[in-house]
Amino acid sequence: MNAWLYLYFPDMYLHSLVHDYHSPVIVITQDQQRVVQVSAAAKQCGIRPDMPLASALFLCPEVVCHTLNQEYAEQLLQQRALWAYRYSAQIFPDPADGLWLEAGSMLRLFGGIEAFVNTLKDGCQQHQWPLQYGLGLTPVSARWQALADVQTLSLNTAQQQHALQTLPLDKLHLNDAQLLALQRLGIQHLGELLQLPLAETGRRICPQLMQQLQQLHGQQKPPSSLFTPPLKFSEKVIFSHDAEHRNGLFFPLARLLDSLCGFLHHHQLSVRWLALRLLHREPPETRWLFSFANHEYRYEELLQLCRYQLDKQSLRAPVTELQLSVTQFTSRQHEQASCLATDDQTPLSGSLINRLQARLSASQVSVLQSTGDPRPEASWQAQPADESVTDSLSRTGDWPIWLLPEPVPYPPPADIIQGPLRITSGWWDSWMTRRDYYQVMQDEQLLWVFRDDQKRWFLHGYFS
Amino acid sequence: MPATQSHSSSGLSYPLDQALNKGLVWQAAQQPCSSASVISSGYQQLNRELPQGGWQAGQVCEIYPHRYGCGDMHILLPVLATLSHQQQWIMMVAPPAIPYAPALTMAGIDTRRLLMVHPKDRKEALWCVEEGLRSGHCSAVMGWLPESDPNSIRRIQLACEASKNFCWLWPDARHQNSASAAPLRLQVTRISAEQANLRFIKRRGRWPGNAFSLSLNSATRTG
Repeated sequence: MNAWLYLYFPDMYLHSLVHDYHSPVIVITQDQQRVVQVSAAAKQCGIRPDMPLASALFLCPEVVCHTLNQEYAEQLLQQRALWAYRYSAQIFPDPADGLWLEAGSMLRLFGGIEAFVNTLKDGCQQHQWPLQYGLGLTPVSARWQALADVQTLSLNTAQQQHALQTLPLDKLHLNDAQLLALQRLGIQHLGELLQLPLAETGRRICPQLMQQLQQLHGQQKPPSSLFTPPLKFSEKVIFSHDAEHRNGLFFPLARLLDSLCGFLHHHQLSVRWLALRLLHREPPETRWLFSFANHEYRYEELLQLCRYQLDKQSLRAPVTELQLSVTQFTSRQHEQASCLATDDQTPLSGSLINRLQARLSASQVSVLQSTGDPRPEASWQAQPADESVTDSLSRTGDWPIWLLPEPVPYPPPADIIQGPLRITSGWWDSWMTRRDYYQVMQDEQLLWVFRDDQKRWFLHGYFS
Repeated sequence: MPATQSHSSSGLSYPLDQALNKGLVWQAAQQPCSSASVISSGYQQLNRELPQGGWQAGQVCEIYPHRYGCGDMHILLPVLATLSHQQQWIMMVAPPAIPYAPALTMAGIDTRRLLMVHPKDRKEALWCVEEGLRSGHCSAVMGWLPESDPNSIRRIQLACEASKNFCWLWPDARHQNSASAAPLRLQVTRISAEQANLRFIKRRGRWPGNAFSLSLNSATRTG
């Protein structure tokens, strides 16, 4: 079945700016002449879209102005497309703040059109994105219904026809000349326009409008190109008010992480590091690199890790913009173990190490690796916890449980329980060792002491 | 201590209620029937002394060695060997020295499961112990916390109870005689090379008991 869903994000640019909802904010054109988008608070002051900037400032002198950055606006639409990618396989971004989603093939997966639309609406609500949607049998029909905010939830031909007939033309984002021509003819609804012969419309009003009317019933592909998600993640949040404390960064970062997780989920990838770029009012920007011991892709884990890492940082200056980017990914390791694998082969969980390293530092977390060297100091190594450790064979004997990092000089012992155990080794490197080890009982402790070849005594460990 | 269920009509009934609510009075009748797993300590004599016949998950055990090297680690080797064959970490927070790998391997412990954490200060150490318990990725957490206080032990006990993990702590020896939320408190002194003297200062579910000596070589591998 052919079905298209058009998602229209009204004032997308404005809503992407992190701002306080009670303060008046407007978005103005690049040449700083006209107002494009207006926040609710600014609307109350009487500011309307398409107003000259001077009038807006006159109406409300304390209004916060943001110049529309076309590049960022396109990026925003790409972000939305990426978000929508978890709901539909075919997405066509419309440069005018909207997305076409192919819905026909998704209905079975989501269990009907209502469930599909509700899932999308919930998703938008979570991000607090205002949304208007339209459902149609062709892309143009879906778009027009979205712009007019007609919430038809049926693909029945008759109902669709009825919805289209009553669409008010002034809501369809037609240009001024087209609207004027239609008004002169006394046409206010799409139904009236559709009754006219198509060729006449094209000749008298506008050839582009004729094209769109043709597409309303005919064409099955949206006029833009198919969205393909990039294999590079980079998104940013612009603050309307500078973030002065690192806690202020956490919520915007959570939003970016959510977006990242959607990206990771779709590609079945995981990350080992995140690059954060913080822009300040004065040039040198701050760059933070959050790296993890193990690959991660779960939202809660990433959020927690970022929280720990943020706690360790301090801000040099208030932040105006936060950017999260990841360019290196690894494919997820398959977690299903083979039926024949023994317990030994399933890997230990890395998320604990991730958390410990995020809160402490990498050098404070380690695992033991025995090397098989007979010299006590060389018989073990502290490995970084993210490296895998191989098991090596160990010498039998009666060994102490605690080894001191450095041997400590010790007076000649009186109560020798066992010994000597001679360890002579290391002729292959510069650090030759020749020692006699004894077990010594002293003050209710069982000690491991040795005498070196110069007859000096040292304490080297405890039998605990 | 017998259960104090009868409410006297005197003015004392209110403070007693309060004390009961705060959990300051231990009542034998309210003993939780434990369904948590119990692992044999590997020493028959110690098993007899432990309330459930072995180390019990979800219960913090405080260990007060007289000094380093008096056998306190030795009595844990069999249970650690058992735990190290699970696919989970055994976390050692702030160990007093380097755990000597050959000795641990000899005791049957898979040293690849040992995760050592060296926190900078007291706050970090307590956080590590709690995080290890709550993460669900550790089979046991061992913490050397010379600067712990009764409150932090209570927090750790709550985390331990919730996660049903094994936890052994080496708190400040000064707290040995004050109250603690840990269900088990064990004092260890060494008598000779093969003998250690053990005494439970506190055992939830049983009387503290007398000191008993344990032959350190009598361990049987529990597998």
